[in-house]
Amino acid sequence: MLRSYLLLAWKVLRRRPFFTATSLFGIAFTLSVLTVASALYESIANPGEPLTRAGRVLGVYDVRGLGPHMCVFSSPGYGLLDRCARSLPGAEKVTVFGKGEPMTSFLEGRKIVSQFRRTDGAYWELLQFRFLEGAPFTADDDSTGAFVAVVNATTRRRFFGSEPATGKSIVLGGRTYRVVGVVKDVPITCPEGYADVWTPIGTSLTPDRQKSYLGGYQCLVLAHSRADFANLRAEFARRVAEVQIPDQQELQTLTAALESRQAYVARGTFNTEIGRDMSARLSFAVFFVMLLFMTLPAINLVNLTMSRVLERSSEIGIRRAFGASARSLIGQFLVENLVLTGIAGIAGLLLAAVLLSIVNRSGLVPYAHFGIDLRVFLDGLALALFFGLWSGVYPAWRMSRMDPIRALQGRLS
Amino acid sequence: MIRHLIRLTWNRRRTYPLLIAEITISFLVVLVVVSSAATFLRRYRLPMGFDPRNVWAVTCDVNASGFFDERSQEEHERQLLLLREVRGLPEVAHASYVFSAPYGPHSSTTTLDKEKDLSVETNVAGDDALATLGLRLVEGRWFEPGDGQLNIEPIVIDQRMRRLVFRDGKAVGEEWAETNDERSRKHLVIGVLEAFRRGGELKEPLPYFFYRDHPEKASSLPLKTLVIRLRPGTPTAFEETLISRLRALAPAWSFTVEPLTEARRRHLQEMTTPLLIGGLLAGSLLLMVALGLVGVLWQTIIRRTHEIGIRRSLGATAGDIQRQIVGEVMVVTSLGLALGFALALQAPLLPPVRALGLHFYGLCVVLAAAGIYALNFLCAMYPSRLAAKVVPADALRYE
Repeated sequence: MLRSYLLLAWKVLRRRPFFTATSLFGIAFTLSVLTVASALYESIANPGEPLTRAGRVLGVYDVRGLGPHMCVFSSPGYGLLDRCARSLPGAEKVTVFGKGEPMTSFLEGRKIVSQFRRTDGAYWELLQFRFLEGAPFTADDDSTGAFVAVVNATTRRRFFGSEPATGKSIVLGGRTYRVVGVVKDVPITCPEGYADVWTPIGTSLTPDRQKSYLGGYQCLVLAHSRADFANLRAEFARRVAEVQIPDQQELQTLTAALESRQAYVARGTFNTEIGRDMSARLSFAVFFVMLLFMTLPAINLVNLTMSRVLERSSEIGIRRAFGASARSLIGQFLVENLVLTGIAGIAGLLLAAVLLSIVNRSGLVPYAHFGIDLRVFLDGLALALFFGLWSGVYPAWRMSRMDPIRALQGRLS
Repeated sequence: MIRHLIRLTWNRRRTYPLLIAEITISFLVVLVVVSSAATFLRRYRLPMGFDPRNVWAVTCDVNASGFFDERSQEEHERQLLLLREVRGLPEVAHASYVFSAPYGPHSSTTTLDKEKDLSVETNVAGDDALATLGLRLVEGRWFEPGDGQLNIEPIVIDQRMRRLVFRDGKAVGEEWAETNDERSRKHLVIGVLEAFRRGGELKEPLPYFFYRDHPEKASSLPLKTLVIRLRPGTPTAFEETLISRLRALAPAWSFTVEPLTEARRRHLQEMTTPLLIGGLLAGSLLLMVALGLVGVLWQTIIRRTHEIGIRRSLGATAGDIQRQIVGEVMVVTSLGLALGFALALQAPLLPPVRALGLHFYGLCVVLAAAGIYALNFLCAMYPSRLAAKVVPADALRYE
């Protein structure tokens, strides 16, 4: 039965190439856009390497300072994080690191701008980078202020060509560092791990960075399990509230919170205050926008299927006159639609893969390596099936209500 | 003719609701595209108020010390030393510190009117910034070395702020009080600039004013950006010399140079990429709708061969048939657009549309509607020609 349906579907689709092509284009295009969007969203929400344990990680991303006549919004400073986050009880690991800044080097008259980040030793334990050669620097390097650096593969190529870099010197911003390790490039969609060069915080020559409460740093806390999140958050908030601000004239209170990545992304999207978790609302908004985006092609598909059904009214009339039940007719049309969306779904995924590789190569997103992973692929396939069913139901319903006698005469509705 | 078409459409109303929904949605899509394109085009054409050519922005990373930390006198003096050194270089025409450079990431704003939720962007700049950035004064004067002796804070405002605060009255020489929470500080307006659109060509222009960077004392905002106007024809290799000179004087600081023309290119790319992607998506959606419409019409023609045959044999010309088909499509389009208008009328309540201005928004609505009419007209052309080709004898034999 199913086999004859499939055969019939194939014959019907080939009979009207224009309709088939239009429907295919519509579904393939919609699916590819949705797949690309979900691949981008996925890479921001769950970036994978090096932030492989994102589910157990909380971060401090922003601080709000309020004073009598100003309100400052900025990244936290080293002193604040060192005092309030570093030794949180119950945390498995805590790392404090710089937000990163561009650093200029001149190599044989060529200008090279590298994204430069200062980190502590724990950074390399909490984030799991893939080392191509060498090893990370350690907490000792940080406390002694050793001029060592970890670079990424692109920086190695820029400075040393195809040669290994470990043990060689690299000049950045007028200072010389010894390269101790080379890691794989990390895309900017994982902002905590993105950089070209990493050096110990101890190499920064600021003597009094302990005093700084605002600006330039960030921190990540790895919990033993998600159940510890509430305790960690409460303890961090208590410590921030106790901070004594030296310059009381300008700022009086500081607000900061340990946030999950999703909550941080959602806060940026909706522009709400620090510490409010809007991630559920973001997921809902994303779902809603996707649904909206699907409406137009779905209506289009329903329209085209409708015309296809009506065109074949005499065929339906004959089948009904010979005793075919409405159910089996509906089944036949749904199978036709599913075959169509199945083909379009595969075409859409291929198109999405092409689009993603264009984005990867364009250099618009530094070190992007977006791809269609299995989860995105299955999401896309499920979406295609949903599409096929949805757009097939209304025409099939209309068809099943057709009066066989009128249908046989070729008259409609 | 039109009444007849409407009646025809009405009689076939059960086949149309999906088509109408499609037209309504595509109208809304076109409206969004047209109004954002028009907004950005309008912004692009407004005067910038500064000249980015031959200007470099040097970001001095004063050791990542944060905002509002205790700023040491030593740091301040070193900054002045750097400025003197840069001014002494033969390639440099003018140089000045500013708080936020054009196209840069930092900005600061203050409230102008709390009830109306109006804010104004502020900046801090030195006496030489007028020549460095190529600012255009409309009235009054720029900051001068003697301004440190004034017992009131001098400010230079732009025309947008002038319009908001002083309406048509005199601005130069007037006092204006900046009110933030309980405190209020008095300022003296000494000049009016044409504009200063720091955010860039495609950002919304904001009312603006400059504080003076008093070299006598460290400002409470850290001035980390040194803007430099080079003499025309300076090679890009000068960057290396400049950085090494600066580094010799402040070994602990790091410096990054970006020409403003480069920053401008980056800004335009950053702003137009999402627009381009949105435009492409909208274009593909419309193409899809257009193809669907052609398909549905085609189907209709095939089904109505009989009717068309009768009309032809009763003396209707090919042109009559074509006009009828196109006319029917136009009636359906109008129905869809009427629904779209009803939805578009709700939009002026949204803040982005209010910022656009009702007049402008109306124009966008008209343009979008015209676009949809044109698209549907084109889609109807081919099927209607097919219909016109129906041979009456064949069509009547069909049954």
